[in-house]
Amino acid sequence: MSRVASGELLSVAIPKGRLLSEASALFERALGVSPKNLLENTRKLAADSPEHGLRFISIRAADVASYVEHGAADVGVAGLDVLREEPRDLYEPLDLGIGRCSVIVGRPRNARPLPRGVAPRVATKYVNLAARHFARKGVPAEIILLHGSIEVAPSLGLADLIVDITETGETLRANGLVVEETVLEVSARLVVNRVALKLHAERLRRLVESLRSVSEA
Amino acid sequence: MLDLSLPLGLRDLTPDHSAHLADLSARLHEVFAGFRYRRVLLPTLERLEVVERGLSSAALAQVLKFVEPGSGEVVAIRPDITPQIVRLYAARPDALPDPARLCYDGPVLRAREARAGRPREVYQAGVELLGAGGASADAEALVVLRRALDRVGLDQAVLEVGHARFAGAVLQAAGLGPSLRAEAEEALSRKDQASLGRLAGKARGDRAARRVMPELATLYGEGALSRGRRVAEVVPAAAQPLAELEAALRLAARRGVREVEVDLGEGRGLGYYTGITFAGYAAGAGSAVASGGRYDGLLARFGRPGPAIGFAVDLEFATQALERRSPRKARRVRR
Repeated sequence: MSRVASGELLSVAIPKGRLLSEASALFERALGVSPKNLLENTRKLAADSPEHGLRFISIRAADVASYVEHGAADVGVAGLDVLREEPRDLYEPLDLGIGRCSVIVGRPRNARPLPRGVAPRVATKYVNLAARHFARKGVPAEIILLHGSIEVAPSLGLADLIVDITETGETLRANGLVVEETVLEVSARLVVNRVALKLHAERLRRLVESLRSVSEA
Repeated sequence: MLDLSLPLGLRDLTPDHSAHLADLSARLHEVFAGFRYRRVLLPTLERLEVVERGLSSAALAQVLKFVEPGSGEVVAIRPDITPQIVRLYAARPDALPDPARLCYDGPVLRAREARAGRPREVYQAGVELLGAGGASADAEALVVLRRALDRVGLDQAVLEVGHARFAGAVLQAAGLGPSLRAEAEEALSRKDQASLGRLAGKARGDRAARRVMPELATLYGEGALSRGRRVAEVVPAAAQPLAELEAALRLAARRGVREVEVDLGEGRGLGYYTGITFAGYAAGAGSAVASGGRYDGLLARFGRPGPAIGFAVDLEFATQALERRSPRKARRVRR
Protein backbone atom coordinates (compact mmCIF):
# COMPACT_ATOMS: atom_id res chain seq x y z
CA MET A 1 0.00 0.00 0.00
CA SER A 2 2.77 2.42 0.90
CA ARG A 3 4.25 4.76 -1.65
CA VAL A 4 7.61 4.59 0.08
CA ALA A 5 10.25 2.30 -1.36
CA SER A 6 10.63 -0.74 0.88
CA GLY A 7 14.26 -1.19 -0.10
CA GLU A 8 15.79 1.45 2.13
CA LEU A 9 17.29 0.38 5.46
CA LEU A 10 15.60 1.38 8.68
CA SER A 11 18.15 2.71 11.14
CA VAL A 12 18.21 1.50 14.74
CA ALA A 13 20.07 3.49 17.42
CA ILE A 14 21.70 1.05 19.84
CA PRO A 15 23.00 2.57 23.09
CA LYS A 16 26.62 2.14 24.06
CA GLY A 17 27.50 0.95 27.54
CA ARG A 18 25.29 -0.73 30.11
CA LEU A 19 22.36 -1.50 27.77
CA LEU A 20 24.35 -2.72 24.76
CA SER A 21 24.57 -6.42 25.62
CA GLU A 22 20.99 -6.81 26.80
CA ALA A 23 19.54 -4.83 23.88
CA SER A 24 21.67 -6.82 21.48
CA ALA A 25 20.47 -10.10 22.95
CA LEU A 26 16.84 -9.05 22.37
CA PHE A 27 17.50 -8.31 18.70
CA GLU A 28 19.34 -11.59 18.37
CA ARG A 29 16.43 -13.58 19.81
CA ALA A 30 13.83 -11.65 17.80
CA LEU A 31 15.56 -11.44 14.42
CA GLY A 32 18.67 -13.59 14.62
CA VAL A 33 21.02 -10.64 14.25
CA SER A 34 23.29 -9.27 16.97
CA PRO A 35 23.93 -5.52 16.67
CA LYS A 36 26.74 -5.88 19.21
CA ASN A 37 28.65 -8.37 17.06
CA LEU A 38 27.99 -6.39 13.89
CA LEU A 39 29.19 -3.15 15.47
CA GLU A 40 32.24 -4.76 17.09
CA ASN A 41 33.33 -6.16 13.75
CA THR A 42 33.50 -2.77 12.11
CA ARG A 43 35.40 0.37 12.99
CA LYS A 44 32.55 2.48 11.68
CA LEU A 45 29.72 3.87 13.78
CA ALA A 46 27.16 2.05 11.65
CA ALA A 47 26.73 -1.57 10.61
CA ASP A 48 24.21 -2.81 8.04
CA SER A 49 22.16 -5.95 8.07
CA PRO A 50 20.59 -5.85 4.58
CA GLU A 51 18.81 -9.19 4.98
CA HIS A 52 16.81 -7.67 7.86
CA GLY A 53 16.50 -4.25 6.23
CA LEU A 54 18.21 -2.67 9.22
CA ARG A 55 21.20 -0.42 9.86
CA PHE A 56 22.46 -0.35 13.44
CA ILE A 57 24.14 2.79 14.70
CA SER A 58 26.04 3.05 17.95
CA ILE A 59 24.99 6.08 20.03
CA ARG A 60 25.60 7.30 23.58
CA ALA A 61 22.65 6.12 25.68
CA ALA A 62 21.67 9.65 26.71
CA ASP A 63 21.55 10.77 23.06
CA VAL A 64 19.44 7.96 21.57
CA ALA A 65 16.15 9.81 22.17
CA SER A 66 17.48 12.92 20.37
CA TYR A 67 18.66 10.91 17.37
CA VAL A 68 15.29 9.22 17.04
CA GLU A 69 13.19 12.31 17.71
CA HIS A 70 14.97 14.22 14.97
CA GLY A 71 14.87 11.34 12.51
CA ALA A 72 18.61 10.58 12.37
CA ALA A 73 17.51 7.12 13.48
CA ASP A 74 14.07 5.58 12.90
CA VAL A 75 14.09 3.37 16.00
CA GLY A 76 16.11 3.31 19.22
CA VAL A 77 16.52 1.85 22.68
CA ALA A 78 16.30 4.44 25.47
CA GLY A 79 15.92 4.40 29.26
CA LEU A 80 12.67 5.69 30.73
CA ASP A 81 14.72 8.04 32.95
CA VAL A 82 15.99 9.88 29.86
CA LEU A 83 12.53 9.92 28.26
CA ARG A 84 10.79 11.36 31.33
CA GLU A 85 13.55 13.82 32.31
CA GLU A 86 13.18 15.62 29.00
CA PRO A 87 9.85 14.75 27.36
CA ARG A 88 10.21 13.78 23.72
CA ASP A 89 7.84 13.65 20.81
CA LEU A 90 8.24 9.91 20.17
CA TYR A 91 6.30 6.70 20.06
CA GLU A 92 7.19 4.33 22.90
CA PRO A 93 5.48 1.14 21.76
CA LEU A 94 7.38 -1.35 23.87
CA ASP A 95 8.77 -1.80 27.36
CA LEU A 96 11.81 -3.96 26.63
CA GLY A 97 12.10 -5.02 30.27
CA ILE A 98 15.89 -4.60 30.24
CA GLY A 99 18.15 -2.12 32.05
CA ARG A 100 15.91 -2.17 35.11
CA CYS A 101 16.85 0.34 37.80
CA SER A 102 15.24 3.13 39.82
CA VAL A 103 15.50 6.87 40.15
CA ILE A 104 15.44 7.40 43.92
CA VAL A 105 15.70 10.05 46.60
CA GLY A 106 18.72 9.26 48.79
CA ARG A 107 19.75 10.80 52.11
CA PRO A 108 22.71 10.32 54.49
CA ARG A 109 22.04 7.39 56.81
CA ASN A 110 22.67 9.34 60.00
CA ALA A 111 21.46 12.77 58.98
CA ARG A 112 19.22 14.60 61.41
CA PRO A 113 15.88 15.60 59.85
CA LEU A 114 15.81 19.17 58.57
CA PRO A 115 14.01 21.68 60.79
CA ARG A 116 10.42 22.11 59.71
CA GLY A 117 9.91 24.55 56.83
CA VAL A 118 13.52 24.41 55.65
CA ALA A 119 13.73 23.76 51.92
CA PRO A 120 16.01 20.77 51.26
CA ARG A 121 18.87 21.19 48.84
CA VAL A 122 18.81 18.37 46.31
CA ALA A 123 21.76 17.42 44.11
CA THR A 124 20.91 15.58 40.88
CA LYS A 125 21.46 15.26 37.18
CA TYR A 126 17.67 14.77 36.81
CA VAL A 127 16.63 18.36 37.48
CA ASN A 128 13.17 18.03 35.91
CA LEU A 129 12.30 14.68 37.49
CA ALA A 130 13.50 15.97 40.87
CA ALA A 131 11.65 19.30 40.59
CA ARG A 132 8.40 17.53 39.58
CA HIS A 133 8.76 14.98 42.38
CA PHE A 134 9.17 17.57 45.14
CA ALA A 135 6.55 19.89 43.63
CA ARG A 136 4.01 17.03 43.70
CA LYS A 137 4.73 16.54 47.39
CA GLY A 138 4.46 20.27 48.03
CA VAL A 139 8.07 20.41 49.26
CA PRO A 140 9.90 23.59 48.20
CA ALA A 141 13.21 22.00 47.23
CA GLU A 142 16.26 23.77 45.87
CA ILE A 143 17.52 21.69 42.93
CA ILE A 144 21.26 21.69 42.19
CA LEU A 145 22.43 20.34 38.83
CA LEU A 146 25.51 18.09 38.92
CA HIS A 147 26.99 16.10 36.06
CA GLY A 148 28.50 13.22 38.02
CA SER A 149 29.47 11.85 41.45
CA ILE A 150 26.05 12.86 42.75
CA GLU A 151 26.38 10.49 45.70
CA VAL A 152 29.24 12.45 47.32
CA ALA A 153 27.31 15.75 47.36
CA PRO A 154 25.78 15.26 50.86
CA SER A 155 29.06 14.30 52.52
CA LEU A 156 30.77 17.35 50.99
CA GLY A 157 28.04 19.60 52.35
CA LEU A 158 26.58 20.58 48.97
CA ALA A 159 23.16 19.01 49.42
CA ASP A 160 20.82 17.45 51.99
CA LEU A 161 19.39 14.91 49.55
CA ILE A 162 20.20 13.45 46.16
CA VAL A 163 18.01 12.22 43.31
CA ASP A 164 19.95 9.63 41.36
CA ILE A 165 19.67 6.39 39.47
CA THR A 166 20.57 3.11 41.14
CA GLU A 167 20.45 -0.53 40.14
CA THR A 168 21.50 -2.34 43.31
CA GLY A 169 21.97 0.50 45.79
CA GLU A 170 25.61 -0.48 46.30
CA THR A 171 27.13 2.90 45.43
CA LEU A 172 24.62 4.57 47.72
CA ARG A 173 25.52 2.31 50.64
CA ALA A 174 29.24 2.79 50.04
CA ASN A 175 28.67 6.55 50.39
CA GLY A 176 26.62 6.25 53.57
CA LEU A 177 23.28 6.94 51.87
CA VAL A 178 19.92 5.22 52.20
CA VAL A 179 16.97 5.23 49.80
CA GLU A 180 14.22 7.47 51.13
CA GLU A 181 11.73 6.97 48.29
CA THR A 182 11.42 5.96 44.66
CA VAL A 183 10.81 8.65 42.05
CA LEU A 184 10.56 6.43 38.94
CA GLU A 185 10.93 2.74 38.14
CA VAL A 186 13.08 2.60 35.03
CA SER A 187 13.45 0.12 32.19
CA ALA A 188 14.51 0.54 28.58
CA ARG A 189 11.87 1.37 25.97
CA LEU A 190 11.79 0.88 22.26
CA VAL A 191 11.27 4.35 20.80
CA VAL A 192 10.16 5.09 17.24
CA ASN A 193 10.29 8.32 15.25
CA ARG A 194 6.79 9.66 14.65
CA VAL A 195 7.14 10.23 10.91
CA ALA A 196 9.08 6.98 10.33
CA LEU A 197 6.20 4.97 11.81
CA LYS A 198 3.89 6.54 9.24
CA LEU A 199 6.22 6.07 6.27
CA HIS A 200 7.14 2.46 7.13
CA ALA A 201 4.07 1.44 9.11
CA GLU A 202 4.00 -2.28 8.35
CA ARG A 203 7.75 -2.87 8.59
CA LEU A 204 7.93 -1.10 11.94
CA ARG A 205 4.79 -2.82 13.25
CA ARG A 206 6.42 -6.18 12.48
CA LEU A 207 9.69 -5.13 14.13
CA VAL A 208 7.80 -4.04 17.27
CA GLU A 209 5.82 -7.28 17.33
CA SER A 210 8.87 -9.51 16.94
CA LEU A 211 10.69 -7.67 19.73
CA ARG A 212 7.55 -7.84 21.85
CA SER A 213 7.40 -11.61 21.48
CA VAL A 214 10.88 -12.02 22.99
CA SER A 215 10.81 -9.26 25.60
CA GLU A 216 7.61 -10.17 27.43
CA ALA A 217 8.79 -11.16 30.87
CA MET B 1 24.69 47.77 22.06
CA LEU B 2 21.78 47.36 19.68
CA ASP B 3 20.22 43.90 20.00
CA LEU B 4 18.91 42.69 16.65
CA SER B 5 17.81 39.24 17.81
CA LEU B 6 14.21 38.03 17.52
CA PRO B 7 11.97 36.84 20.37
CA LEU B 8 12.55 33.18 21.24
CA GLY B 9 11.15 30.75 18.70
CA LEU B 10 10.60 33.31 15.93
CA ARG B 11 12.69 33.65 12.81
CA ASP B 12 12.95 35.43 9.48
CA LEU B 13 12.66 33.54 6.23
CA THR B 14 15.38 34.47 3.77
CA PRO B 15 14.53 35.21 0.09
CA ASP B 16 15.17 31.67 -1.24
CA HIS B 17 13.21 29.98 1.52
CA SER B 18 10.43 32.57 1.32
CA ALA B 19 10.19 31.98 -2.43
CA HIS B 20 9.84 28.23 -1.83
CA LEU B 21 7.00 28.80 0.63
CA ALA B 22 5.21 31.32 -1.58
CA ASP B 23 5.55 29.07 -4.63
CA LEU B 24 4.26 26.09 -2.66
CA SER B 25 1.26 28.04 -1.39
CA ALA B 26 0.46 29.32 -4.89
CA ARG B 27 0.43 25.80 -6.33
CA LEU B 28 -1.73 24.51 -3.47
CA HIS B 29 -4.22 27.30 -4.13
CA GLU B 30 -4.37 26.31 -7.82
CA VAL B 31 -5.53 22.87 -6.72
CA PHE B 32 -7.95 24.30 -4.15
CA ALA B 33 -9.42 26.62 -6.79
CA GLY B 34 -9.82 23.67 -9.15
CA PHE B 35 -12.17 22.12 -6.58
CA ARG B 36 -14.05 25.46 -6.34
CA TYR B 37 -12.63 26.55 -3.00
CA ARG B 38 -12.54 30.36 -2.70
CA ARG B 39 -9.83 32.19 -0.85
CA VAL B 40 -10.46 34.37 2.20
CA LEU B 41 -8.04 36.67 4.00
CA LEU B 42 -8.49 36.85 7.74
CA PRO B 43 -6.94 38.99 10.50
CA THR B 44 -4.17 37.63 12.72
CA LEU B 45 -5.90 38.89 15.89
CA GLU B 46 -9.21 37.57 17.19
CA ARG B 47 -11.14 38.10 20.38
CA LEU B 48 -10.22 35.35 22.83
CA GLU B 49 -13.89 34.37 23.03
CA VAL B 50 -13.76 33.28 19.38
CA VAL B 51 -10.43 31.45 19.68
CA GLU B 52 -11.35 29.55 22.85
CA ARG B 53 -14.56 28.16 21.39
CA GLY B 54 -12.44 26.07 19.06
CA LEU B 55 -9.88 24.72 21.47
CA SER B 56 -9.42 22.20 24.24
CA SER B 57 -8.20 23.71 27.50
CA ALA B 58 -4.74 22.20 26.95
CA ALA B 59 -4.50 23.87 23.55
CA LEU B 60 -5.80 27.14 24.99
CA ALA B 61 -2.82 27.32 27.33
CA GLN B 62 -0.62 27.57 24.21
CA VAL B 63 -2.36 30.71 22.93
CA LEU B 64 -0.65 34.11 23.10
CA LYS B 65 -3.23 36.45 24.64
CA PHE B 66 -3.16 40.08 25.72
CA VAL B 67 -5.43 42.93 26.78
CA GLU B 68 -6.28 45.64 24.24
CA PRO B 69 -5.24 48.95 25.79
CA GLY B 70 -8.34 50.81 24.57
CA SER B 71 -11.24 48.50 25.29
CA GLY B 72 -9.79 46.20 27.95
CA GLU B 73 -10.88 43.28 25.79
CA VAL B 74 -8.75 40.10 25.75
CA VAL B 75 -7.53 39.29 22.27
CA ALA B 76 -5.38 36.45 20.98
CA ILE B 77 -2.98 35.94 18.13
CA ARG B 78 -4.55 33.08 16.20
CA PRO B 79 -3.14 29.63 17.01
CA ASP B 80 -5.32 28.05 14.33
CA ILE B 81 -7.27 29.41 11.36
CA THR B 82 -10.20 26.95 11.37
CA PRO B 83 -12.14 28.66 14.21
CA GLN B 84 -11.76 31.97 12.37
CA ILE B 85 -13.26 30.46 9.22
CA VAL B 86 -16.13 29.12 11.33
CA ARG B 87 -16.65 32.57 12.87
CA LEU B 88 -16.82 34.09 9.41
CA TYR B 89 -19.23 31.37 8.21
CA ALA B 90 -21.50 31.91 11.22
CA ALA B 91 -21.40 35.70 10.95
CA ARG B 92 -22.10 35.91 7.20
CA PRO B 93 -24.77 33.39 6.12
CA ASP B 94 -25.79 35.97 3.47
CA ALA B 95 -22.39 35.82 1.75
CA LEU B 96 -21.66 32.15 2.44
CA PRO B 97 -24.57 29.82 1.59
CA ASP B 98 -24.23 26.06 2.20
CA PRO B 99 -22.06 24.34 1.32
CA ALA B 100 -19.27 26.90 1.68
CA ARG B 101 -15.89 25.99 0.21
CA LEU B 102 -13.20 28.29 1.59
CA CYS B 103 -9.41 28.26 1.49
CA TYR B 104 -6.75 30.38 3.16
CA ASP B 105 -3.11 30.76 3.91
CA GLY B 106 -1.16 32.58 6.58
CA PRO B 107 0.80 32.26 9.79
CA VAL B 108 -0.43 30.90 13.10
CA LEU B 109 1.35 31.45 16.42
CA ARG B 110 1.85 29.50 19.61
CA ALA B 111 2.79 30.97 22.98
CA ARG B 112 5.67 28.55 23.47
CA GLU B 113 7.86 26.38 21.31
CA ALA B 114 6.34 22.92 20.89
CA ARG B 115 9.86 21.78 21.69
CA ALA B 116 13.31 23.29 21.63
CA GLY B 117 14.22 24.59 18.20
CA ARG B 118 10.74 24.30 16.66
CA PRO B 119 9.39 27.60 15.42
CA ARG B 120 6.42 29.08 17.27
CA GLU B 121 5.11 30.70 14.12
CA VAL B 122 3.95 28.31 11.43
CA TYR B 123 2.72 29.08 7.91
CA GLN B 124 -0.29 27.10 6.75
CA ALA B 125 -2.45 26.81 3.65
CA GLY B 126 -5.71 24.96 3.99
CA VAL B 127 -9.32 24.38 2.99
CA GLU B 128 -12.59 24.13 4.90
CA LEU B 129 -15.82 22.62 3.55
CA LEU B 130 -18.65 23.93 5.74
CA GLY B 131 -22.28 22.84 5.77
CA ALA B 132 -21.55 19.52 4.05
CA GLY B 133 -21.32 16.23 5.91
CA GLY B 134 -21.19 12.50 5.38
CA ALA B 135 -18.96 10.24 3.35
CA SER B 136 -19.09 12.37 0.22
CA ALA B 137 -17.62 15.44 1.93
CA ASP B 138 -15.10 13.24 3.79
CA ALA B 139 -13.96 11.73 0.49
CA GLU B 140 -13.76 15.18 -1.10
CA ALA B 141 -11.35 16.34 1.60
CA LEU B 142 -9.14 13.27 1.07
CA VAL B 143 -9.17 13.73 -2.70
CA VAL B 144 -8.31 17.45 -2.49
CA LEU B 145 -5.40 16.73 -0.12
CA ARG B 146 -4.04 13.90 -2.29
CA ARG B 147 -4.25 16.05 -5.44
CA ALA B 148 -2.64 18.97 -3.62
CA LEU B 149 0.28 16.85 -2.37
CA ASP B 150 0.76 15.32 -5.83
CA ARG B 151 0.64 18.73 -7.50
CA VAL B 152 3.39 20.26 -5.33
CA GLY B 153 5.74 17.32 -5.83
CA LEU B 154 4.94 15.39 -2.66
CA ASP B 155 3.55 12.47 -4.65
CA GLN B 156 5.63 10.15 -2.42
CA ALA B 157 3.82 11.39 0.69
CA VAL B 158 1.77 8.85 2.65
CA LEU B 159 -1.87 9.74 3.32
CA GLU B 160 -3.13 8.28 6.60
CA VAL B 161 -6.69 8.23 7.93
CA GLY B 162 -8.17 7.55 11.36
CA HIS B 163 -11.29 8.51 13.31
CA ALA B 164 -11.58 10.85 16.26
CA ARG B 165 -14.21 8.72 18.06
CA PHE B 166 -12.93 5.17 17.55
CA ALA B 167 -10.37 4.92 20.37
CA GLY B 168 -12.55 7.13 22.57
CA ALA B 169 -15.43 4.65 22.22
CA VAL B 170 -13.21 1.82 23.45
CA LEU B 171 -11.82 3.85 26.39
CA GLN B 172 -15.37 4.92 27.28
CA ALA B 173 -16.67 1.33 27.26
CA ALA B 174 -13.68 0.20 29.33
CA GLY B 175 -14.96 2.49 32.08
CA LEU B 176 -11.97 4.63 33.08
CA GLY B 177 -12.40 7.48 35.52
CA PRO B 178 -11.34 10.97 34.36
CA SER B 179 -7.73 10.79 35.56
CA LEU B 180 -7.15 7.23 34.29
CA ARG B 181 -8.81 8.26 31.02
CA ALA B 182 -6.33 11.13 30.63
CA GLU B 183 -3.46 8.74 31.39
CA ALA B 184 -4.80 6.28 28.82
CA GLU B 185 -5.03 8.97 26.13
CA GLU B 186 -1.49 10.03 26.91
CA ALA B 187 -0.28 6.40 26.72
CA LEU B 188 -2.15 5.89 23.44
CA SER B 189 -0.53 8.99 21.95
CA ARG B 190 2.82 7.25 22.58
CA LYS B 191 1.44 3.87 21.37
CA ASP B 192 2.50 2.57 24.77
CA GLN B 193 0.71 -0.77 24.75
CA ALA B 194 2.05 -1.92 28.14
CA SER B 195 0.71 1.15 29.95
CA LEU B 196 -2.67 0.74 28.25
CA GLY B 197 -2.74 -2.84 29.54
CA ARG B 198 -1.89 -1.69 33.06
CA LEU B 199 -4.64 0.97 32.92
CA ALA B 200 -7.16 -1.53 31.53
CA GLY B 201 -6.48 -3.61 34.64
CA LYS B 202 -7.62 -0.69 36.82
CA ALA B 203 -10.74 0.05 34.75
CA ARG B 204 -14.19 -0.97 35.98
CA GLY B 205 -16.18 -1.17 32.74
CA ASP B 206 -17.03 -3.78 30.15
CA ARG B 207 -14.71 -6.78 30.31
CA ALA B 208 -14.34 -7.19 26.52
CA ALA B 209 -13.55 -3.49 26.09
CA ARG B 210 -10.86 -3.73 28.77
CA ARG B 211 -9.37 -6.77 27.04
CA VAL B 212 -9.06 -5.04 23.62
CA MET B 213 -7.98 -1.65 25.01
CA PRO B 214 -4.20 -2.29 24.67
CA GLU B 215 -4.69 -3.25 21.00
CA LEU B 216 -5.54 0.40 20.23
CA ALA B 217 -1.78 0.99 20.17
CA THR B 218 -1.31 -1.50 17.33
CA LEU B 219 -4.12 -0.63 14.87
CA TYR B 220 -1.83 0.55 12.07
CA GLY B 221 0.01 -1.10 9.19
CA GLU B 222 -1.36 -3.88 7.00
CA GLY B 223 -4.76 -5.20 8.01
CA ALA B 224 -5.42 -2.29 10.40
CA LEU B 225 -9.03 -2.05 9.22
CA SER B 226 -9.81 -5.73 9.69
CA ARG B 227 -8.15 -5.72 13.11
CA GLY B 228 -10.22 -2.61 13.88
CA ARG B 229 -13.37 -4.49 12.85
CA ARG B 230 -12.59 -7.19 15.40
CA VAL B 231 -12.35 -4.49 18.08
CA ALA B 232 -15.69 -3.04 16.94
CA GLU B 233 -17.29 -6.49 17.22
CA VAL B 234 -16.74 -6.48 20.97
CA VAL B 235 -17.20 -2.71 21.49
CA PRO B 236 -20.41 -1.85 19.63
CA ALA B 237 -19.92 1.91 20.12
CA ALA B 238 -16.78 1.73 17.96
CA ALA B 239 -18.69 0.29 15.00
CA GLN B 240 -20.26 3.60 13.88
CA PRO B 241 -16.94 5.52 13.70
CA LEU B 242 -15.39 2.61 11.81
CA ALA B 243 -18.33 2.53 9.36
CA GLU B 244 -17.90 6.27 8.70
CA LEU B 245 -14.20 5.77 8.02
CA GLU B 246 -14.77 2.85 5.68
CA ALA B 247 -17.49 4.71 3.77
CA ALA B 248 -15.11 7.64 3.25
CA LEU B 249 -12.33 5.31 2.05
CA ARG B 250 -14.66 3.53 -0.40
CA LEU B 251 -15.80 6.81 -1.96
CA ALA B 252 -12.27 8.23 -2.07
CA ALA B 253 -11.10 5.04 -3.81
CA ARG B 254 -13.88 5.44 -6.39
CA ARG B 255 -12.59 8.97 -7.01
CA GLY B 256 -9.07 7.68 -7.58
CA VAL B 257 -7.46 7.86 -4.12
CA ARG B 258 -6.69 4.23 -3.32
CA GLU B 259 -3.38 4.27 -1.47
CA VAL B 260 -4.42 5.25 2.02
CA GLU B 261 -2.91 4.02 5.28
CA VAL B 262 -5.07 3.57 8.36
CA ASP B 263 -4.20 4.18 12.02
CA LEU B 264 -7.14 3.83 14.40
CA GLY B 265 -5.06 4.79 17.43
CA GLU B 266 -3.90 8.22 16.33
CA GLY B 267 -5.32 11.32 18.01
CA ARG B 268 -4.99 14.57 16.09
CA GLY B 269 -5.75 18.23 16.22
CA LEU B 270 -6.55 20.79 18.86
CA GLY B 271 -9.56 19.06 20.36
CA TYR B 272 -12.52 19.72 18.04
CA TYR B 273 -12.51 16.74 15.68
CA THR B 274 -15.59 14.50 15.71
CA GLY B 275 -15.23 12.28 12.64
CA ILE B 276 -12.53 11.07 10.29
CA THR B 277 -9.10 12.59 10.81
CA PHE B 278 -6.22 12.41 8.36
CA ALA B 279 -2.67 13.54 7.73
CA GLY B 280 0.06 13.48 5.11
CA TYR B 281 3.60 12.36 5.92
CA ALA B 282 6.71 12.78 3.78
CA ALA B 283 10.33 11.76 4.18
CA GLY B 284 12.61 14.62 5.22
CA ALA B 285 9.92 16.53 7.16
CA GLY B 286 10.11 16.52 10.95
CA SER B 287 6.36 16.20 11.34
CA ALA B 288 3.16 15.77 9.31
CA VAL B 289 3.12 17.92 6.15
CA ALA B 290 -0.67 18.24 6.38
CA SER B 291 -3.42 17.30 8.78
CA GLY B 292 -7.14 17.73 9.19
CA GLY B 293 -10.45 16.17 10.05
CA ARG B 294 -14.19 16.45 10.49
CA TYR B 295 -15.45 18.83 13.18
CA ASP B 296 -19.25 18.65 13.24
CA GLY B 297 -19.59 20.10 16.74
CA LEU B 298 -17.71 23.34 16.24
CA LEU B 299 -20.19 25.22 14.00
CA ALA B 300 -22.99 24.99 16.58
CA ARG B 301 -20.71 26.63 19.15
CA PHE B 302 -20.67 29.67 16.83
CA GLY B 303 -24.45 29.68 16.34
CA ARG B 304 -24.77 28.24 12.83
CA PRO B 305 -24.94 24.46 13.38
CA GLY B 306 -23.84 22.11 10.65
CA PRO B 307 -21.19 19.61 9.61
CA ALA B 308 -17.72 20.64 8.44
CA ILE B 309 -14.38 19.19 7.42
CA GLY B 310 -11.03 20.67 6.48
CA PHE B 311 -7.27 20.38 6.53
CA ALA B 312 -4.16 22.54 6.56
CA VAL B 313 -0.84 21.97 4.83
CA ASP B 314 2.12 22.99 6.99
CA LEU B 315 4.13 25.01 4.48
CA GLU B 316 7.34 24.75 6.49
CA PHE B 317 7.32 20.96 6.87
CA ALA B 318 6.19 20.53 3.26
CA THR B 319 9.08 22.74 2.13
CA GLN B 320 11.49 20.73 4.30
CA ALA B 321 10.35 17.56 2.55
CA LEU B 322 10.65 19.15 -0.91
CA GLU B 323 14.09 20.64 -0.24
CA ARG B 324 15.39 17.26 0.95
CA ARG B 325 14.06 15.14 -1.90
CA SER B 326 16.68 13.26 -3.86
CA PRO B 327 17.83 15.39 -6.85
CA ARG B 328 16.64 12.82 -9.40
CA LYS B 329 13.07 12.86 -8.08
CA ALA B 330 13.16 16.65 -7.78
CA ARG B 331 14.06 17.02 -11.47
CA ARG B 332 11.31 14.68 -12.54
CA VAL B 333 8.53 16.76 -11.02
CA ARG B 334 10.02 20.22 -11.56
CA ARG B 335 7.81 22.28 -13.82
